[in-house]
Amino acid sequence: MNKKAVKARIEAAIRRFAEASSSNAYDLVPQSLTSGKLYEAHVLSIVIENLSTQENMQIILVNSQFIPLKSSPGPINRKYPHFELRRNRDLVAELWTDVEFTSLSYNQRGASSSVQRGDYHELDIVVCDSGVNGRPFHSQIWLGVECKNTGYTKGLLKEILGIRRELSLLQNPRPTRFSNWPRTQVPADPPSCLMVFSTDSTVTEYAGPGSVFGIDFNHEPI
Amino acid sequence: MNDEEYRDILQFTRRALNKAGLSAIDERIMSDIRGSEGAFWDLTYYLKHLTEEVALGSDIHLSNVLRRVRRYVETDTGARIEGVRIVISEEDRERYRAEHIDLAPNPELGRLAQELRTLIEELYEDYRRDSNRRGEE
Repeated sequence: MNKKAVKARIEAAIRRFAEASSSNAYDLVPQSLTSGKLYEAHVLSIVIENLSTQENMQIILVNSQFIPLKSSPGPINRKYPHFELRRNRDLVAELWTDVEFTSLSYNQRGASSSVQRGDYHELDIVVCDSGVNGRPFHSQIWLGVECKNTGYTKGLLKEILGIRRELSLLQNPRPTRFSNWPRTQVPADPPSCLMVFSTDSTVTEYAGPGSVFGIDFNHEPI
Repeated sequence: MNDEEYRDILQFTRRALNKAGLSAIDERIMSDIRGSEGAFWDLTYYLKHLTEEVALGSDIHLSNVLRRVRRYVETDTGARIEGVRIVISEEDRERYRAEHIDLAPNPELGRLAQELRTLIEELYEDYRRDSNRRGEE
């Protein structure tokens, strides 16, 4: 190889790279959104794998041929794609992405007033009772997952502790809705599981409070 | 090739990236370079990073996600899962000019990454051959 030949190959490669990059349909979308959502999809695939291999669930994507994510969270809309979770062919739960749930404190106030901004919170991935329409109640959540494709900070710990607080009360360990994964018991009532996945290895330094309140912190690089 | 030629190729590559509107990638690669190991090693280091950038654009991660989900999930219609769809919220639709974004692997970038790997391998072979020849002399 001579210098001229190498340059020609590099020049052609860069030209093709530029053309392929500019042909992406999502040019107008910030990289932070697509990379964050790609990480969410990555974690979703891990959750799905574990529900299948460790919980022996059959998983069916309905209403779409695409793995569904949303740019912003919202209530469950049953027209949207989601995953059915079945045991022995029986529908037992559903998995939704980017969903808001109504909080324990809203329920404690009688859940009779109209829902205010502070009465619901989002989760990136939710396993909940089947058939829910709108925002699931905190008591309908089996598993909530937060995905952080970013440096993990004290602020994010406070955020997840707040989510835990609005999902359940601290109680002696009680059985979850799962037989193996992610937990069989959790110190919470209702006994929802709560997980954090982060690309940042320091996430494990924040795991202490989670061991008390029932939050599992996972370092999951992409 | 000699050090001067390797240096020239590196400068040419950086200029080509910038000219193609990919200066952010050049900056990212250069910020990762910690001191010079020599002209040949600088060039191959740069090209390896460029290859990783291309591969990232080919959505290797996305391919892994799809592979895993396809293995464990069926669709209600029996059709194959095609990719990831981000539904854009109503308030964002005007800004992004789309109702949804489909993320699907770009095979062209995957092929391109492989071609760059081949080029790097050929550069290594040339370099080893030249070094041996110089040793014999």
